[in-house]
Amino acid sequence: MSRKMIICFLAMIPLFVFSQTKTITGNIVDSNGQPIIGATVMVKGTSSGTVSDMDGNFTLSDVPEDAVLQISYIGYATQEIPVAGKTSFGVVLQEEAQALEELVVVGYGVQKKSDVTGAIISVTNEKLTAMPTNNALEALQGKAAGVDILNTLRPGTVGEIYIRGVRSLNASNAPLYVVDGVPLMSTSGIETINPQDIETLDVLKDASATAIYGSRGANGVVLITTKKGSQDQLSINYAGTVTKQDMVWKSNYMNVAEYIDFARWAAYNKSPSSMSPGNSPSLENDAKIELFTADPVAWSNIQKGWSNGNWDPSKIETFDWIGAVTQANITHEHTLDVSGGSKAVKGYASFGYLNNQGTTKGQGYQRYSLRANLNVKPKEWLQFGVNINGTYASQDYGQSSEGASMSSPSDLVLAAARIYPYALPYDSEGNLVTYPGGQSRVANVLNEWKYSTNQRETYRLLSSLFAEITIFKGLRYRMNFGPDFRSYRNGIYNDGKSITRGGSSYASYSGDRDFSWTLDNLIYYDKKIDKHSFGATFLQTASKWNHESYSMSAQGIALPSMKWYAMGSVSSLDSWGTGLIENQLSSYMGRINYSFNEKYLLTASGRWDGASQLAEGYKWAFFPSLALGWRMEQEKFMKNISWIDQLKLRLGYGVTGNSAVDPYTTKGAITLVQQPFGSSIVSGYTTTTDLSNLGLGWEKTAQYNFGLDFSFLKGRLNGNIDIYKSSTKDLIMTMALPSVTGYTSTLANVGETKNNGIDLTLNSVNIQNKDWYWETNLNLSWQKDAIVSLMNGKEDMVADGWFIGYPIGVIYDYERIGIWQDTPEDLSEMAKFNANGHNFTPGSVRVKDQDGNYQITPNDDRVIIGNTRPNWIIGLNNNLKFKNWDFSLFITGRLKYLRSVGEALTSMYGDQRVVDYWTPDNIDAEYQKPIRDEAGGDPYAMTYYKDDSYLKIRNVSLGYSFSKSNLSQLKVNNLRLYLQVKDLGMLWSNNSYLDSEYGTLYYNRGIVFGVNIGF
Amino acid sequence: MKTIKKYTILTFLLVSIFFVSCSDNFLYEELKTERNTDYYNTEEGIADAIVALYNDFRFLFMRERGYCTTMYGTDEFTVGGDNSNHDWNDYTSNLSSLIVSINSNTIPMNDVWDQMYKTINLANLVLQKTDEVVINEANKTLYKAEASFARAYSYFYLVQQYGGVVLKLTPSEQVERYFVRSSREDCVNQIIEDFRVAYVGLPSTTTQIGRLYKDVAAHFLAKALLYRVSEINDDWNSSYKTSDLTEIITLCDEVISKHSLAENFSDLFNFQKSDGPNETLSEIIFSAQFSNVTPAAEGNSYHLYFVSQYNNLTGFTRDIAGGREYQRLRPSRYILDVFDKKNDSRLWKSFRTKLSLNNSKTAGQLSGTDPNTGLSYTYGLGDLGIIYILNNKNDDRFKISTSLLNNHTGVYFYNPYTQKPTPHTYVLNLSDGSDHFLGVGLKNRFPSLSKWYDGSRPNHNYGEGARDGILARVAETHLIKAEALIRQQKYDYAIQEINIVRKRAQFKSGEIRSAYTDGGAAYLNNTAGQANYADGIKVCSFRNSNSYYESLNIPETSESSDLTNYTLSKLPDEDEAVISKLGLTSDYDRMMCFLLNERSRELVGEFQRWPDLARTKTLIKRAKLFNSEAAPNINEKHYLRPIPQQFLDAIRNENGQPLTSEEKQAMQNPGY
Repeated sequence: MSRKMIICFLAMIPLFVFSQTKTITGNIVDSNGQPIIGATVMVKGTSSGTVSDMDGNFTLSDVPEDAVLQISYIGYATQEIPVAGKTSFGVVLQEEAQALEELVVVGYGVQKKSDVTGAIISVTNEKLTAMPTNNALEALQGKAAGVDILNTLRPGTVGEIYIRGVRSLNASNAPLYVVDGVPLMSTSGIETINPQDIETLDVLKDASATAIYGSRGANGVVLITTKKGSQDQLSINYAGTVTKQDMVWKSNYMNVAEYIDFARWAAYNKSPSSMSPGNSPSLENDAKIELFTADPVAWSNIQKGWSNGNWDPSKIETFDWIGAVTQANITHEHTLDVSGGSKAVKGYASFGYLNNQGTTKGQGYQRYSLRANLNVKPKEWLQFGVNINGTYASQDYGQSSEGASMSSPSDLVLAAARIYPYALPYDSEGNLVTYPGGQSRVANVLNEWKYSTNQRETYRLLSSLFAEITIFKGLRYRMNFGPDFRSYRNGIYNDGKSITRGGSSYASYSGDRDFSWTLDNLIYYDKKIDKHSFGATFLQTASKWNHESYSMSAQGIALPSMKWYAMGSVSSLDSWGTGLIENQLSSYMGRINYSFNEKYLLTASGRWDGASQLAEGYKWAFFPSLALGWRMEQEKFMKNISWIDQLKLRLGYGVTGNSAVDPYTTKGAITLVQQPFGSSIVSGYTTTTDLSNLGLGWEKTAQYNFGLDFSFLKGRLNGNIDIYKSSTKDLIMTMALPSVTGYTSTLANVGETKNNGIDLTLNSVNIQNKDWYWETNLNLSWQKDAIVSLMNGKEDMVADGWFIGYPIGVIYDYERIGIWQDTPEDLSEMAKFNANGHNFTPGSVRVKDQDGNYQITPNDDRVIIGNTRPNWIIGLNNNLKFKNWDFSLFITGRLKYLRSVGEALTSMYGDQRVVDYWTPDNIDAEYQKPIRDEAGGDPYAMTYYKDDSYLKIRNVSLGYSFSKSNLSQLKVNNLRLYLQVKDLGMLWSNNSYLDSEYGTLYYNRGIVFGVNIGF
Repeated sequence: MKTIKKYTILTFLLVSIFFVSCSDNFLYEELKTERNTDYYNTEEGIADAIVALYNDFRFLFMRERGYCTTMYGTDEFTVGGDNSNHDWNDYTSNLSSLIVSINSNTIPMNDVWDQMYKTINLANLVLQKTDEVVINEANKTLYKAEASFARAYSYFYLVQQYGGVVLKLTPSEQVERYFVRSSREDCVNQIIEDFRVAYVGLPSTTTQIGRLYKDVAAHFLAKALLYRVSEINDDWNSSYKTSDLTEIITLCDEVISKHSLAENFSDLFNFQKSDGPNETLSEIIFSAQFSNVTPAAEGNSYHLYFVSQYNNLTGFTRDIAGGREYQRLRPSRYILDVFDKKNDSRLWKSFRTKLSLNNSKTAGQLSGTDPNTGLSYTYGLGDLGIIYILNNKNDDRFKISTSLLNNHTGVYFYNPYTQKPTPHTYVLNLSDGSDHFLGVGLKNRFPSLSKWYDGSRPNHNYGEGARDGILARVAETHLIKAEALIRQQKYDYAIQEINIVRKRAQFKSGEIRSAYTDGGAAYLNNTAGQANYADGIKVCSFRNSNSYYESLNIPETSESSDLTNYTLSKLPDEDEAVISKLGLTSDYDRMMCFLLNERSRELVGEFQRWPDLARTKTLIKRAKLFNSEAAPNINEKHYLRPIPQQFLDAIRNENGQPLTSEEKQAMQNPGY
């Protein structure tokens, strides 16, 4: 590696070549004879060049006799002209049709982009791999309008994706993934696919496009096409990145002095009669505060702050607990691929390796991926192909709280953050303090990463095979077979010394094995008669999913080294089990594409889906779609408007389903219970709390989409805009039953939601000339969902937080209107409340008594405060190129939603951020007075909500591409080096104490060094 | 070439046709890994449903619902150091049809309601299907008796909490939504009828531990009859009174004739290991079965809730015998004062008053010098670390002072029995007459009710206890009979009956009064648990003595004590004190008060109190006097719980419409 790098850097020294030169002139026009202004004229392989002027003329001096001119302009095909023997050139550039002739992957086939009638967003490999990402989902963030992606910080864990918002209340909102034509059945999505192997990623958004996937299309479809070999040339590519990540703390925690003051106030507010207020501390009073004295080590540390009755908190020792559990992380990623082929055989193979150590000790992720693709065309009418994608991934999940005998924070960093600022890890004799600070829920995190191991391994073989025969011109038959095998195991070992354990060790070993396959039989027929083009597709398909699982757990493992590998060494397991889930899907689909004169487009499809998990009589459903397109630029009246390249109107309607009914839901399973009689165990069977519903059917979404695709000024401004409106009926919902029946719920098709929104994609080339190129991509979406009806018709379901006319996921709570003050007016008001059983005192949260009866009750005084899902999602990318340098800045954001920020004053752990809290000296405070309590305290402490909009600088990148002439001597085709900063920070955020995107108190900032080489 | 091409096509077409033709079968769904409701159509399935009904008796002892509905908000306990369920004690406005959860431990109003109806539905299913499915006549009778008992037990629990409820006597197979509440009289009559079916159908003995037999039905039938004649039903029960009271006495006599009281009160709670000898004493009529035999299921969690905090005191760490401190239930002054401290052994056998230092790392930090004498003391593992002194009023030994040790109890106590100051000393009565640990500032420090400690757990944080939950024991049968006698105004006979229970509570001749044990001591037989002991140290906080002598400051004695030296006109001092506070005068009221006090002394922490006080309509008065946190809020409506909002929201009226606000209000209990 290092030797290669030296060579690379040497290559940066320009290599001067001396030869005969001359001056040349020329004129550039388009096919209509109009001059082209600003076309780039370069001497190929050098950095010398110029741009055409107002009249299309150019002059270039010192051009070698053997040079080749390269003339390019956006929207036109690049031309290369040898200079030899000429000094004057007349150049006619041809319009590049390719942009509109690009193929787009639609369900069960490809279409010319110009003929597409649905709302589809295509993201190419270039964009997906512009920065290093752990998985394709992360790579997609901000690149596609209407797609909301929430990432996670834990290496190896995929985030959430929502296409055009949420519409389902209980069923899943995850999209369908289709890899090389095979819809995935497995619970595993696309996290095992190396983003480098992806050629294009197409997102089908509207129902006219997704209806082709019928019962599984309601949440959108993500189509992944992996890289294939080409017949042109043999190429070898290497892409590698090294990223150094550091954890950045957002939250400003109280320092030891602030925390102690805070705790004194909390103790005083708990028992004002026996404690002194926080602003008049004394050693005697501190000695009465159990929080301080519970741990003698911490208490003697606090006492260091007292000398002769004077309080000096700077004398108190502190320990960097968070620093102790974090580490600087190096992530590296390497992908090497080889591709090539002939007319008859094409192949592609790649090997990828990713190693992310994580910034929290004990976490990490490694992935090895191997991909092979082979296409064989032995006869003109026959074609075979195979794709194999093998992955092995190993995730160190980090501290696991499984088997914990008491609740603990979800990760080690949060556990460390909880520890009190005055608490120390060791006592004076060097022994580890088990509970620094003396509270049983705050344990010492030192060495925890050694005591708690959670290792998850995934093997996956995702493949597809196809055969295609052309029966006669226009009629093709194709068979796809897609087997997907996945094996996952999860090993957990928590040593007795782990903070999650009470002395005994715990191990668990569990996993599952998925095997699914899809078999498609497809017939395609294409026919063109004069101006009429027909295309028809018929599909018969069947899929089966088979899922086996196993688990076991035990306590008291004899040796730490045994981990989960020696379950036979314990006398009895705590729990064990195996399971099997199977389901099948069978479908028929027909689709017709028709276009007239390449102007008027029509797509109609219908799909019948039958699913095993629904009861007899409800298994089958029909999902139709219809879409119309009008290529306005083809009309005569538009042909003369030269600045319009493309203007296409699309109108689509479709019905899709959400098949997220778990298998066996309608089977009425009963539950095994183990009942002791004395010391003998007898099994019995009891009913579950769910009544099985034999009439359960699909949840269906109908959607209208109105879209406009445009390209102006020779493609310098292009994009699309889609407006949609959808309505989801027969929502699959857990419907509450009166428990008098013996059951509390049943799964039923009740209720309706609606959703509408706008997606905008805008690409603009702002500057283009010889040395400069600046491009901006904007993805912007707005969406709003609302509940139309629920299980009781127009009745709200308060317990679930669902309200008619409001979005899914609103905050329903008391309305905070301030803090009660020690004024005569407030005191008299409080007295009226307190007479009704309340306990308001000055400094506690004042919530609005909506019905004015001086009694705050959940029925009458809670109101809808706001929505937790954003209305706006934004992605903004700027690419700037100057000669061989490139620079990009990528910004993402989510706007207009609320976050609960009321955690500030209730926990009484060490993770207390600096807040403006009420004391008699600070009555204008934002937050209420602290009250020391393990559970309870101020009952309305959690009513703090805040807008959480943010714009984040996701990525800043600077790269250098070596010019070909420099590289040819090294036998290298292309070479690019780049430096990036990943997650630079917030451009703007309303909540400064956390990272709004991850919802965590910290995030990782990475410095990336990357290389791409092609041979 | 053409032929090859055609063959290929043909093959593919055949494959596709094959898939098309088999697709109906292809979509067949078979549940292979679980049984489904069809199983109840077999005799085996009915037998297994019965087993599940037994499993439901455990419900009360799992999670916090048991104490919320039977112990909080009474005269015996108030809220300790944790507020998770304080609404159930404090009768705040949040104790409504829809309780807003403080945290995941908060028990919602529909918790008991939902579970009881789940049991009722399964019992209904057994009762309906037994005739169709079961062939053996003896089994038929047995199954119906067991299911009737389970149904009656569940309705009894519901009626005591909610009043008249929906009487559903058939199993549900599809969505049903139209329901109305029945009158309390109809419900109680149904309960009594079901208990009678059980009484008639159950065998007189059983070989399987924890299985129902005739005496269990007799005890509960007596209890249900007693409920029918109690004050809460006075607006309709007059016609039942005479015959019910006679029947109660007959039933009790039958049970009493077959069960004897345990020799020593502490035998009942001297749990040594899972399914140990204390769980099969003759005194125990029926208990919900728990065991630590695998496969593990949810356990009895009542070892958690009564435990006061000790792990954060210097010299201590949490251990198995000491228990995990959920600190939910803090004994009231009433319960600590209602015992004759000198003569009634039950106080000392029901509460844990001493703990030993068990933390090797911090015990040594407790050294200090007495400012008065100049003597210095050091401490080590196993030394007495915590003492709760349950002294009488007017004891002038204890004052708040600056202590020599780094504790914050503020009381310095030189313990003559250990010849050292006891580091963490908590005193019931300070010399100035004020409370010490009952004050609001120390809600997490109190003598822990020790009836349910469980030292058999594998580690100190483990929640799933293995102790059986006692649902009926014969001491209670005596008190039921005594109450019937009081209601018949046969006070002398009642006193005789009560004295049977009181005599057992006396110190025996030769008994060491400071001897102590509880279920925490099971750690001695718990090798697996000992291996997990904190820090690998085998010394634990359990101590086999109580603070009897430290508290009473009297010379050691091995004489027997006497609890029978009282008459109707001069009841025991402790009872007279309560009677005078309550302002009672009539013989009946005085005797009922004495009986309720006796039930406290005998049955505190055994899931009886709230229903007892509610049915005798003494709840409000007693809570106002003895439960400082309930006092400001409790009122007449609190004799019943509110009907859960989930029920009101989910049902329909007779027209199939959701209930209007007014209709819901009409179905709700008054005042909510």
